[in-house]
Amino acid sequence: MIQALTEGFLLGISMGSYCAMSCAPFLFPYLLASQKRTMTAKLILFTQFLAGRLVAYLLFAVILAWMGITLQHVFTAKVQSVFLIIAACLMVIFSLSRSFPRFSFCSMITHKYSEGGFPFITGFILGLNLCPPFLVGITKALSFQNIFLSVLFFVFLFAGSTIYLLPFPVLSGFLRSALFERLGRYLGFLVGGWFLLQGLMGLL
Amino acid sequence: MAFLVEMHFFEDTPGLKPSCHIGMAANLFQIMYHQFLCLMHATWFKYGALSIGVLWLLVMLTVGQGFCSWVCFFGGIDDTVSQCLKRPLIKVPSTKKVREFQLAVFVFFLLISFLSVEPIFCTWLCPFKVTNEIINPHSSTFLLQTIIFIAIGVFFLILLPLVTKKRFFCSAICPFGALPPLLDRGVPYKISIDQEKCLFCKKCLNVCPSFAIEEKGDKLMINRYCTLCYRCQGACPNNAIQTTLFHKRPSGIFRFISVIVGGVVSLLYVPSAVFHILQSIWRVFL
Repeated sequence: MIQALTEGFLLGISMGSYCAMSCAPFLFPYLLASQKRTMTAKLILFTQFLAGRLVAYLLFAVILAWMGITLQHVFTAKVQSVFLIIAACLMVIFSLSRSFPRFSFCSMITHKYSEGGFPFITGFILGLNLCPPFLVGITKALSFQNIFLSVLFFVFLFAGSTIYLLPFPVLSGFLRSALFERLGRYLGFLVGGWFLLQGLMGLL
Repeated sequence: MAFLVEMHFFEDTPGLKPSCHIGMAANLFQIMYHQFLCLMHATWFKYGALSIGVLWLLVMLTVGQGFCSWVCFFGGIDDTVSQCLKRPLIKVPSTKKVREFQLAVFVFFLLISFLSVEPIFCTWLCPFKVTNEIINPHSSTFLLQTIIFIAIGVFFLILLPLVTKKRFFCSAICPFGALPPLLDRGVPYKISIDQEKCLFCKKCLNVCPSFAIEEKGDKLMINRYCTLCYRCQGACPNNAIQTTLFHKRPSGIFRFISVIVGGVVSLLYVPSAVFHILQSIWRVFL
């Protein structure tokens, strides 16, 4: 058990910068564009994003231990591009709904999903993307052949890699004027557009 | 510029030339990281981040965002095209939101470039690439990049400035343009409106190409996004727009001494710089 715990955490720490690369561009606009500007509200949003990621990790951990397969043949580059497109579309919709709340489509989206809904779903989708640290984690988790150890391993992998994301809620906590809220909306639009392009290029 | 040429900043020595200022702004985090690595290897002078930092400070303390109007090559294109028509075909309101979008573009490039370890602005958006890259039709990525280079160039550097008389590339896309306003407080030279003289005719508001003049109630204010193009000063019928130094109008003696000192200092560099440029041209063609 100690082995699963330490190995998961160390893997998370050693390769967490890669996780930050894929998650930070999505997380930061959500935090900046949040209408609630207190540090607590930002931390809640951050937790919702992390909760989405954790759920995806746990899902993987359970399926891996249960089925005993790496799932790499399922999560091909094309499937990951689709995930990226979904996350990017969510980001664009979020930015649009914040920028034009009076439009019927935008108000419907804003009404249907609370502010935390977007970060949670985005976190979940990004968690499903098989980045290199995650692939290493999958290989290691398979060797445990035990659901509990597999889950423990992934929880600590998640904890280790989350350290690299911690500066973002703290930074956004200091940037809480109306200007930064607008900045977050524009940033969300740009990030969404960029990753949409990347996703589409991955599909072609 | 003459100073830069004279200091051999533009010589073709790998690691020493400061490269494009727009690229430097978009990839600032990476450059700082590389400078850190160079510091760790005791070769700090080998990289451009410190030198560009010093130059930047120098520019900020002398002309501030005037760099965009008086030095930058993209600024030159943008500005010239925006002056081609007498009246704008499409009237765009002078809003700060355009410049705030530019700040978002800057933050976006900082984030994406640093996290993907790739100069994204240079590889995906810079219209200048059209002039020095060869289109490779066998690579779909490169073809797409070239299409984007051309589209950005045509749309933001030519079409929008032409029909709106606003510098859209400099005001909405350029990552460098977002930086000087952040350092605005350190710039001694500014343009301001004398409220007592102002007739509120809004001529300055209409001619400003940089979204730098805004209406606040019954007052017109020049904000931090001013690129010191002095177009507003030329348009003002009552001479209400003035240059200030540390929030005060410089005296006649100060201006006279500035011209003399500036002339003498530039004499130290200009002839030699011109010689270097001619020498470079000579080397290229012969």
